[in-house]
Amino acid sequence: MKKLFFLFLTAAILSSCGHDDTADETPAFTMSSDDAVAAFLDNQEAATKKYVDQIIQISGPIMELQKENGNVVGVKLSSDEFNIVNVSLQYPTTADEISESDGIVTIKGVCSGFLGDSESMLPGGTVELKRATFVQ
Amino acid sequence: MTDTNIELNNTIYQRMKKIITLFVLSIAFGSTLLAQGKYFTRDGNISFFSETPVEDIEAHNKKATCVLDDETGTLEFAVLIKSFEFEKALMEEHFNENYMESNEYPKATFKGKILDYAGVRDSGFPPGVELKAQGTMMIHGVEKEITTTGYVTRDGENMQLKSSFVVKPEDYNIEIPNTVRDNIAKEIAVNVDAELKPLKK
Repeated sequence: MKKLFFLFLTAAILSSCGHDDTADETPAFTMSSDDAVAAFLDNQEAATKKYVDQIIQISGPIMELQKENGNVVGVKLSSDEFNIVNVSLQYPTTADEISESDGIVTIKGVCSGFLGDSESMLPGGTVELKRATFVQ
Repeated sequence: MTDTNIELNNTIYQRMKKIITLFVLSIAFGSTLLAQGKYFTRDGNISFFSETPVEDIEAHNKKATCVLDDETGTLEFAVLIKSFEFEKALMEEHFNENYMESNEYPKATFKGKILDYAGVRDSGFPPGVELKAQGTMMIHGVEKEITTTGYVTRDGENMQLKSSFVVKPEDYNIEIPNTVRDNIAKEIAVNVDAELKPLKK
């Protein structure tokens, strides 16, 4: 009975857990936004096996900030409109808190994969990062 | 008024006429180019909601890719399954590993056409006009022909797409284990909201 109670308690605690803070995690890979997209364009299968579900730290120029209610909730990194790293932030931030160095920002997040299809009407491809945080 | 003054006025008048004609032509030509182009986003919102007496489950994906060909009404959507975010980490893990098998089937897509698109476009997308989209939905590696309804509006040079429909997991061979069958609805409500901007190439 005691065992059952602890099992139930553990399950209840686990099911109510949120996501870990990416800011506290060490990235498995570090690269530029151009290299991240190139890796998937060169060999999508190999890049998927290597990078998906991993925490990746990516540096690149800001192409666009995605805002909701005045706060930044996402960012696109790229110098090219069609091959980009599309990032969802774990916590909304303000534009003032984003620190750039020579126009380059660094972000780490969980890679959720690559969207790009040669048969699509939309050229290029997108590497997606979720639960990302800016690296100061 | 001297002859020189009259000649000068005529010259100015002719130049102004040319400038106005060029201006009008450039606006007309520019808007034609825009109207015949493609519109796209990489930040489309797709969310789903499962409601049961046991629990409600909600997930959001704000990185959907969408392209609309304004000439033909051809429409494409694509989302990465792993980009759906849940409030609870464990739910997200179960969704990807146990139900959607997202390592094997990483994407969900829709490829189709908005029916009678040209008529609505040429009428300037009157508010409240419901459109039908018909095409192939691919989820969990299973392709299914669907027809759904939605709204398209023009907002300046951008386009807004909205749609709500229902997906039955069993239609896409998504197996729900007996242990959590009561926790997951048999019909999942899906909402799509995307603001598309002109694709300039």
